[in-house]
Amino acid sequence: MCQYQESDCSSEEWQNLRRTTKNAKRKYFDEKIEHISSQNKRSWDLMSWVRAPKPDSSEAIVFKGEPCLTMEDTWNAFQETFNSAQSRPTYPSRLGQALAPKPKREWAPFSVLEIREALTGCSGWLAPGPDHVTWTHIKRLCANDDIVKLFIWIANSCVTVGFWPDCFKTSKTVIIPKPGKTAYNIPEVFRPIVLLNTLGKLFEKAIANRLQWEAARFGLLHPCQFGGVRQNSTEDAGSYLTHLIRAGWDKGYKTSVVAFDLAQYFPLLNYTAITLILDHMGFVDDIVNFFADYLVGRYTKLFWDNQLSDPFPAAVGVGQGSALSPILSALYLAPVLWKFHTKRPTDQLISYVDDGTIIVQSKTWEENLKKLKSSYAVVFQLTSALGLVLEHDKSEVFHFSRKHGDDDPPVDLGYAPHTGSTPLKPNKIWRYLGFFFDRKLLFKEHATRYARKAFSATGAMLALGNSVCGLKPKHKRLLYRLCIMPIALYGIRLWNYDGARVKGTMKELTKIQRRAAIWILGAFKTSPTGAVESLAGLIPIHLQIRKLVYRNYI
Amino acid sequence: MHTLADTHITRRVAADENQTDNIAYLPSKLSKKAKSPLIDMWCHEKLVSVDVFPFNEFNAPGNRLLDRFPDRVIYDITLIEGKNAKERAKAREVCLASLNETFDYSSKSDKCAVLVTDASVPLLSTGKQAVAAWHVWHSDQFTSSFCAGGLATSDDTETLAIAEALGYLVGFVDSLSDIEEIHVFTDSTNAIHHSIDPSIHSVQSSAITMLSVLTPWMEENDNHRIIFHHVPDCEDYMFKPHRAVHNLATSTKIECGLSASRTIAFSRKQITDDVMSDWANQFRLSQYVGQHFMYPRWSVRRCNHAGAPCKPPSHLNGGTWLKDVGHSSSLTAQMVRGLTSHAPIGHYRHRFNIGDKIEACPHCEGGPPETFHHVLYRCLKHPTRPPDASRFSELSPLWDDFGKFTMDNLTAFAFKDSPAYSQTVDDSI
Repeated sequence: MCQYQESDCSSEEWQNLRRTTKNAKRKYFDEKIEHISSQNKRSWDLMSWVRAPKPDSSEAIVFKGEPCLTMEDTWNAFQETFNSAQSRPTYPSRLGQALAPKPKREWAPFSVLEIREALTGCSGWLAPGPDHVTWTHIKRLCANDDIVKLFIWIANSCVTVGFWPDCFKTSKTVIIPKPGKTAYNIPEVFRPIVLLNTLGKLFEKAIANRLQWEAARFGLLHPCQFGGVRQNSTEDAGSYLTHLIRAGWDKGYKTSVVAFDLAQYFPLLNYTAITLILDHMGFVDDIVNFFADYLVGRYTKLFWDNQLSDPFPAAVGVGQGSALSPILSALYLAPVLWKFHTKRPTDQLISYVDDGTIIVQSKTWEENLKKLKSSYAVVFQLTSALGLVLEHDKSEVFHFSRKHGDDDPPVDLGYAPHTGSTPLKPNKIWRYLGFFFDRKLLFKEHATRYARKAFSATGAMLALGNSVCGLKPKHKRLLYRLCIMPIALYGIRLWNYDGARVKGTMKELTKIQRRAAIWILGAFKTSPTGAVESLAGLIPIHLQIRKLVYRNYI
Repeated sequence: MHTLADTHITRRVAADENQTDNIAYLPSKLSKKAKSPLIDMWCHEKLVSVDVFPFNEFNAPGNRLLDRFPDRVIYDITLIEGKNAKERAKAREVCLASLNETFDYSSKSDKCAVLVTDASVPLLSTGKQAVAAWHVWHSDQFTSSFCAGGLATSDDTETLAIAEALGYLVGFVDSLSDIEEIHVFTDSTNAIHHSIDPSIHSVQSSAITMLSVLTPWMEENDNHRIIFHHVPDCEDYMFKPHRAVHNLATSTKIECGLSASRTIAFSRKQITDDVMSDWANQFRLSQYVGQHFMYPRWSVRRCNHAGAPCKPPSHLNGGTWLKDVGHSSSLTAQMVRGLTSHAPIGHYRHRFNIGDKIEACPHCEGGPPETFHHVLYRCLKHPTRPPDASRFSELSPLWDDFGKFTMDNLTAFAFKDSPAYSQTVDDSI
């Protein structure tokens, strides 16, 4: 079009061309939007249109200081990073009493209801495994009683024989970039997601459901484990931490935390240690034998940049994407938490999958620093006993204090690089599980950040429709309630409690809702907030928050 | 909080007094000034007085009643379907005939027991509790009773009635193992499913009582089974045994008092109701909706035009008003602009200080000021106008009339009618 404009066309011709292309574009996108929102009934798919573009994958991956120029090199780089734990030794005996054997429990055979329940949560849109069978196919098959019985027979025999067929073990590993990184040229910034065959996943789900139930019923997991455990969420972890700090203030204690990260957590889970832990936790022998077979002899094909590699052996660990990975990893880490709390009864360790936080409280900062150092050493010992690696350079320290201008001392953790002359310095804001903690627990930073995020998302959504064309009002409303509200109200329980100062944040949130309501209805910018909110059927934000928070009390 | 397991941290901290003596985070050791999300949660503990056990023994996957005996729990739920009232009435008659037949046979048999249950939930403002009532029949003998359901929703009380009736049956017959079939007649499908569902729901405790009777009974003999019959709701063709229970339930009144139990579903509903009524109150304030907001009114009968009320706002089913117009962007825009008076008309331009006085309507002779009421009721540009314009022209419009008006006149409250705008841009729509 630029060439056409530069050529000697008259301005009228140029205007016509512009108008025609504009109309054609509008028609095309209107049809597309109509198709996605009305026929597919999946308006939220449109949200990918208003997000930032995907990072460029053209850059070569740098592995051990050298760029990988051929595809072979790249595969090997990924393979070695994701399976770097293959030869790591484990010493479960160091966990001592935390791994004391429990009496064995019974295991009932699977039932039709269980398989059908496991199926209900599966969307037909999920990516299938190497055999290309989607959940939709499985659901069709499971409508037939005879086929379900056959499936159950397979699942039960897998458990009783202690064998997991090879077809369920081969997988495709999709390598996707972790969001929010600056450069994508080293293998560590990518996340391996394992796509397994659907039927195997169905059985895994049924087994995972039982493991979850037993873990909760018999108290196998530590209460401070929040990730991958039923009835626990990041908000639970966050509000518990907030409670500890505020209760400490009430008693005149100062609180310090060290957050640490376990490197390559999922691939590092060692299978001999897993079977030992399951055995000692009192799971039935069949299941222990089953997992002994389940975790070995796996093959996976890596998928990156639209290319599929040859199968690689994946001997260690549970893949991210398997239904069993959350509960297995939680069970794996449980002895560490039990042991830590018996060894250091005055300190707290909370964990969310691979993120851990040590919390210490005392009257002075000096004592806190001492406690942090020794607790960190204990955590290091315990995790290395299970073959896990602490990433020391990712550790963070943070001190909470309500006193204005209070000290903010750096901490010597006793492990490189945070030793002696280069201690670990605390930041002004600490990001943990998506919450932004400030020293005084005002959560101003957190609320503004999320409000801003939601605000810019609302702004970007303007591209999807206006008062004349594009998305229909009812779909716009759905989109706002599904995609914007959860962003804006994330972590609400942490900062909205009785006695907290929330006036400013409420104002911000009302602004977002007003902007969204105006967009939904196509009203004038000057329209009164209450009128547009009510006509659009959006509960005023302070009432919405009250509803959410009070329902949470039940 | 009540639905959480005992091992969950929020309950654990509240319950374990002796667990840790080092850190002073236990609620009992804190001063009254301390504030935190968890303290808030413990303060509101009394919102619900019924506890739920998410990981109870009846809920073990693979060991539940429906896992073990799926064929011996039978649901007889007939959906009343039909294109018109006549077909539906016929379907209802067929359904009632089969219900009567089953009832006649089973209430006389020695091998069967029949439970007919119903519940009545009075309005909260009456200060009465919900009542669960039941009749129990066995080998042509009959007994009936009722119990208080506390503050609960209707599904909760119906489930409670089934569970209590079964407990009553155990005391009524000599031995439960002689009975082969238990027939349950109820008018709530949710109650049927809830009564044997041990997972988390509002009346889980009733379900657990029920399962603790049913599970050993079913283990005894392969012929033992339970059959749930759904009684369709109808004024004319009432299933007689059920009507008797219904009368018993509605005629019984139990005072609420302070000790009445509160179920989860009831508390959830009440929180939402509180929020909705606060919203409705706020909606009436002109500071909230703007000075010139026209409350769309709702008239059931045409004659009561002037006294028609305005519906409260709601977030359900796509909003009170948006659900009617939400399928079209331009219609929604017209409607909102009209009702808020923030539309391309003279009145709006005057409000934002364009011109000394309200601009005259360009379409009418004599130049009357272009206001919301003028455009809706008097403007000659629009051929179809709401009826009774002369009598009610100063009131806010009826929602139906207003909707019809905007649908007929696609240019009203849109930029096409605006004089200043129409000269510059022609193809705005």
